[in-house]
Amino acid sequence: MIISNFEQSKKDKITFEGEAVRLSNELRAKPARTWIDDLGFRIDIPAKKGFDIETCEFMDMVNWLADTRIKKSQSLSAFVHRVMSVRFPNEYTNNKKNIDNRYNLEMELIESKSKNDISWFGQVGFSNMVRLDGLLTNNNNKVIENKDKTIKITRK
Amino acid sequence: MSNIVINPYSFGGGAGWSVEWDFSVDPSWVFNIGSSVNKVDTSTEKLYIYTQSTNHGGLNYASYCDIDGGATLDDTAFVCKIFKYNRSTISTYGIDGLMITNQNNLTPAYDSGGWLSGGTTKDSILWHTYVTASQQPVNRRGYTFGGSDTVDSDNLAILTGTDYYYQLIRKSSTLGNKIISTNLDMSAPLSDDDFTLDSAIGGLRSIRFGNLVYTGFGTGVQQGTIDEIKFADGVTVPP
Repeated sequence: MIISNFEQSKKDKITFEGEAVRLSNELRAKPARTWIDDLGFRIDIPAKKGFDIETCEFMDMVNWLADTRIKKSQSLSAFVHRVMSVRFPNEYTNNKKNIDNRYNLEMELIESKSKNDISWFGQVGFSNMVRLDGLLTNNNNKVIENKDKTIKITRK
Repeated sequence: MSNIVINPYSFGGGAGWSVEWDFSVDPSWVFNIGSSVNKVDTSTEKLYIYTQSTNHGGLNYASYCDIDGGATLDDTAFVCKIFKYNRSTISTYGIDGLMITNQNNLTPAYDSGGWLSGGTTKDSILWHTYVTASQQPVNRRGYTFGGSDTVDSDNLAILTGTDYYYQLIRKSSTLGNKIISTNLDMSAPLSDDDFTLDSAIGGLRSIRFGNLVYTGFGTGVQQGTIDEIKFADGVTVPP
């Protein structure tokens, strides 16, 4: 299934969509960069392998999840799972148990709630919304979505 | 492979602030250099920071003080607020700052990369200021690092003998915000900026103040007092 592009104009917003854009950008390939900072230090950042999550192959995402050399946040892993479930529903259903056994229940829940919505992808970057299985949920907190779609997390 | 997922909500709990250090008792603050000035003074209820402009332990080995919060903060939401940071010295040329970091950064190694760009090589959110040789002492540039992005560079008029309030918020896995103000309610801020974070920066649990000592890059020090430091875990709005 085709998903819409992540709009870079929203990458600075504290919204579900903005979070989805930022998370997708973390996965993209980046060229090597070198510059001299204001203090005269030479900063070398090596090229980074990556992929565009809107267009990549199913196995690109599987391999990324399986690569133990990459440090991944819970949010970014959940983000990849959610996009997989939408872009490749059949492959995800057939192979999800082989992807990461820590996510068995979570993957079932993602599959059941899967929807082609950028906001749904980006929810995983916010407290209490990282996982659907409740493992990271703090019942003392609540997520508030304001009228302008911005998000804040407060105590109940 | 472990099935255990560390619960990030163990830093504190209940309503209000999760952690409050008001220095009425010594919360086991750690100083890497000995000094009669570097201390928690329970009579005045202040933290006294007195970093030095000489190396301690080798090249680039700066002076610092820090404290371990005892558990990790939520990787997607927390508030850190520093009350009445009053500088007694403003460096004429050098680097100093604070970082919220994971346990690994409490090891002695304290290289220039860690201090200048903490988020790129360490699990930390770094907030540093420095004065270049060409700048006036009061014009302090604020940089925040939380990953591969240098996201902010604003000129801050930090003065000696003035109470400042610092507030840093992790709003989501990839977005932070920092404010410096002279007002408790953070109104009329000198600086108020969002910045991008790498979502992989996690397990943060300590706060550290320090300075960089590096040949050719000034002798920045961080000297002054702090009245109180608070963390609110799992929220993006200060209690």
